[in-house]
Order: sequence, then C-alpha cells, then structure tokens
Amino acid sequence: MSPTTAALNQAMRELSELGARLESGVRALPALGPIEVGATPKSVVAQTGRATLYRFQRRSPASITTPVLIVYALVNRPYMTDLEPDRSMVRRLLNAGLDVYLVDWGYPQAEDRQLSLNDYINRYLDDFVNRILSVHGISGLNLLGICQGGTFSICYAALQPEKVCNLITMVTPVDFHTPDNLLSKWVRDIDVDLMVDTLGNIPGSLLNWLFASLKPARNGGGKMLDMIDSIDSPDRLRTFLRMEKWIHDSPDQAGEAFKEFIRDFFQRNGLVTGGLSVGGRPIDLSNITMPVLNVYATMDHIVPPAASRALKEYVASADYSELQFEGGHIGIYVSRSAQTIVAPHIARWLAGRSGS
Amino acid sequence: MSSKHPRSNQQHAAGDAPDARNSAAAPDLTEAARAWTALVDGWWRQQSAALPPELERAMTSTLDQSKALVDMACAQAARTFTESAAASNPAQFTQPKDSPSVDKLGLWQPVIDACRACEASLVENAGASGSPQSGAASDYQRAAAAYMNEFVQINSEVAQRLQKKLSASPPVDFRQLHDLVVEEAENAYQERVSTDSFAALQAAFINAMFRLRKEISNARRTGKP
Repeated sequence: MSPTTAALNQAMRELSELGARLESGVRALPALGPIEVGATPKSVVAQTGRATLYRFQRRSPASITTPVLIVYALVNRPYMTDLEPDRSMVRRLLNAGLDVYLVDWGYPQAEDRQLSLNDYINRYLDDFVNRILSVHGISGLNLLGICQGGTFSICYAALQPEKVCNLITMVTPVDFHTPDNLLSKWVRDIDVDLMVDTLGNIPGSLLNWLFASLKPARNGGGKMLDMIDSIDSPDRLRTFLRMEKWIHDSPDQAGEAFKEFIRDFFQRNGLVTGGLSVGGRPIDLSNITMPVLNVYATMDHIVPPAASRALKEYVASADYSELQFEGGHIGIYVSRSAQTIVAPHIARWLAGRSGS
Repeated sequence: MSSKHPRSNQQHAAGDAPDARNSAAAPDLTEAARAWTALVDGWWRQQSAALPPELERAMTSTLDQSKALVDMACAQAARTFTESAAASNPAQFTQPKDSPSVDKLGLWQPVIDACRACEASLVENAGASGSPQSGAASDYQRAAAAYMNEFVQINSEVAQRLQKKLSASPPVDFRQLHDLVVEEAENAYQERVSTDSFAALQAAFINAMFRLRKEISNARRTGKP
C-alpha cells in the first residue's frame, strides 16, 4: 500500500471514529441545561440610563483598600471577565484581595441613538467613579479598561487624572493605524455618517459579521472537532457553549457614540494624531502621570500588540510597565494560562501601588 | 442514517482497500465526507432545540462551515490521491465518484450567514422597493456580487494551496488533514482580505447596503417608489 493510500485510509478510519464519538453524545447538549454565565455573585450599586455599576461580593474585607473599577467595551458583554468559576478574572482579583467593581453598559435601545462618547465617558463613567469614591471615602481609584473600555479609560484618566490612582489597560487600542490592524483597515472607508443617519443605532449583527470575518476558519468551523472531542465532558461542553453565547451576544451600538468612535479613533486615529476631544474637552495624554500597566496579547487579531503598546509613547507616566500575554484577545480572560498569569500579575502590580 | 455512516467504510479501509487489490481507485473519501455531513446533521437535529434561538443559529452556521471544511479536506485529499495514482499507474487509474467542488462557499459560512443576517435586518423588502431601475439597488447588487466573488477567489486559492501541500506531504491522520485545511483556508483568506482592494470592496459593499436602506426608508416615508 502506498504511503498516500495508507494515509487516506487512516483518515477515513479516524473520521469514522469521530462519527462514533458524535453519536455517543446524542443527548449531550440537552443534558446540559441552561448555559449560565457570570459566575461570581454581585450587587447593583448604581444605574444610569442603561448602564449599571456592579460590585462583586467578597467573602472577607479587601486587603488592598483602593478598589478597582473594570470598564468594559460597548461591544459584546462584560461577563467575559467572569465566564465561569474557573475562568474568571474577576474571581482571581477578588481572591488576591481587591474590591472589584464593573461597568455594564447594557443594551442600547432605539431611543438611545443620541448617546455620545461624552455621555459614556463624562456622564456615566464619571458618575460611577464618583459613586465608588463616595462609598469608600477616597479621592482616587484604580481603573482597569478592557479593549474599547480601555480606550475610554485612557480618555477618562486624561480628563480626570486626580480620580485615577493607577491605570490598567487590557488589549486596548491606542494607535489605530498600525499596519497589522485589519479591523481598522476595513472600517477606514466606511461612510459612518451614512450608517448612523440611516439606522440610528448600529445593529449588533453588523459587528458580529465584522468580527466573524476577521478569522473565519480558525474561529468558526475549525473549532468544531475540538467540540466533538469534548462531547463526553459536560464541563468542557458548557465552557464551549458559554464562549459561543458570549461571541454572539452583541448589543446594538448607540448611533452617535458609534459614529464618534469610528470617526475619531478608527479613521482619524485621534489618540495618536491629537486634536481629540470628548464633549468638547480635549484629551491630552500627557495628563496621564499616574502609574500605568498596559496588558496586551501577542496573538490578538482584533487589537494587535503594536496598537496597544503605542500607549507608552504618549503618556507622561514615570511608572509605565507592560505585561505581555502569550495568547489572543479572548484567551487573555478565559484561557487556563491566563488564570494564573494575568489577574495575579495585575493584583501584585496594584498591591505595590495601592493602599493596603 | 446507519447506511451512510462513515463506519461503513471501515472494513473497506482495514483490509479491502483498493491498494490491497493492486488497484489505483481512491479510498472513497468523498463518500465519507457525505456520510459525515449526514451524521452531523442528524446529531444536530437532536441537539439544537436545547439551545436558545440565537445560539442555535450561530452554531448551525459554524457546523455548516465545519462540514464544508471536512468536505474540502476529503475532496482535496481524494483529488491528490487520484492525480498521484494517475501519474504512477495511468492504466489502472480510476476516477473518484465526484470531483471536489472548489466553488462552494460553505467554507465561509459564518461570514456569509452573518452578512446575510445583517442584510436581512437592513434591507428588508428590498425586492419591492429596490427596483432594478433604482441606482442604489443596482449599485448594491454590483457591490454584493463583487464582494461575494472575493470568497470564490479565496476558495480557489485555498484549493490550489491544499493541492500543493498534500502533493508534497500527505497528512498522517485526519486531524492533521483537517487542521491543514483550516490553516490554508485562513492563510489564503488573510492574504486577500488584508489588501487595500478588499478593504475598498468591502467598504463599497457596506456603503451600498446603507444607501439602499436609506433609499427604501425615504421611499416608504414619501410613498414614492
């Protein structure tokens, strides 16, 4: 038998075995029950518009007295940071002694189309920061921004530096025009005024399409054999489905804020080229003098490392450091290795710079 | 379903393979791919109702792409085998039942499904309002055709790359074959979509979609087609 024929026969045998494995899991998904996400108990601290400020429950007093506020993106949902008990950045931060708050921007409705970046950054975020400062009787907190939420956090820290003791950015775009930024390349010629003028809010389905288009084979059908490998493990199947749920849980985007973000950040690259303002207030990155930890992922296909690492060039902090994570844009929260690397590093970094 | 199950090929694979009879007929991988598709479809029919509708739709699309990946893997491997056999022993060369189809767009199912979902939510009733004489409608049709054609081109490129790789070094197992298809598909895709011309085509498609939507909205508002 030729090597080629032997290989092909082997391939057929394995396909057959995969089929048997699939058939053995005939009740696999129905047996799982509802796909729950957001593992850690939390309570509502404040609500403004659709936005909610949560505080995660601690079992004991925080050993690091300055709380941390996680600012998530408007795109997708913040439960990625707390997907399930064993894959939870939130839980790791709690275990490391931090008091953890989270901004959930909610699901904008048609009447929210006029919400602007000014509303999100200067109203909602500032309201929530003030609420936390008031609860704790402190003058500054730790801000941890994720992806677009990191960009918001940078803007906020530049506008209100006295309220931010330490700034952490995770997989955050700063220079939107690095050559490897495919998403940015794609949206540069899109007529965003026409989009928003036509639709009001931008449907989550449009963003799903763009994100699915970035790596469609590897992040699509390419992972199904892995799912079949997990078919006899309810826990692994649940994790798989939680991830799928998150990927497709895309809120619509408030039209005005979407327009501003695409135009000012993606198209004009305002954080780097200058001249950026939010609500008429100029964003000057040289106001960022507090300690900065910039966390990026080496295999991030949505926010390439260079897009994040540009931050160093524009802030005036004398205490700037980076954490390079060997993984992707999502793996940085949910992978096994992230659990033991990312949150513990952040907690250590904060412990050395916060009151305890 | 059992008659279509890939296991029906096991006996063939284990001892009765064409090579064993000194024939150059390809192991019937294309049939195995069809059986696999039927098996996955049957499995999914029993599973899908357990999921909420949005997740069910997404998983269906992902599974469709997975089937297309397996289909392409099997088809390309069969083609490579056939060509290799024909070159070494033309007298005994036997054609596989089907030629692999490189023009199927199933490989890009999640992108195309997501695109169609977006279209559906944006350009509903376009058939009624977006008449052929409408400039926005014809612009959209042109832009959509050009955009979809990119995927045809990418598919063709994937097939060529796979052919080359498989000829040079046959995979040792199915997983390796599958992963090779994923890798080559992603590489060919990334090369094309990273170009300025693709970005321009995609932007033109999206802008055309919104112009059409705007025209439809205006027509509805004014009552004029």
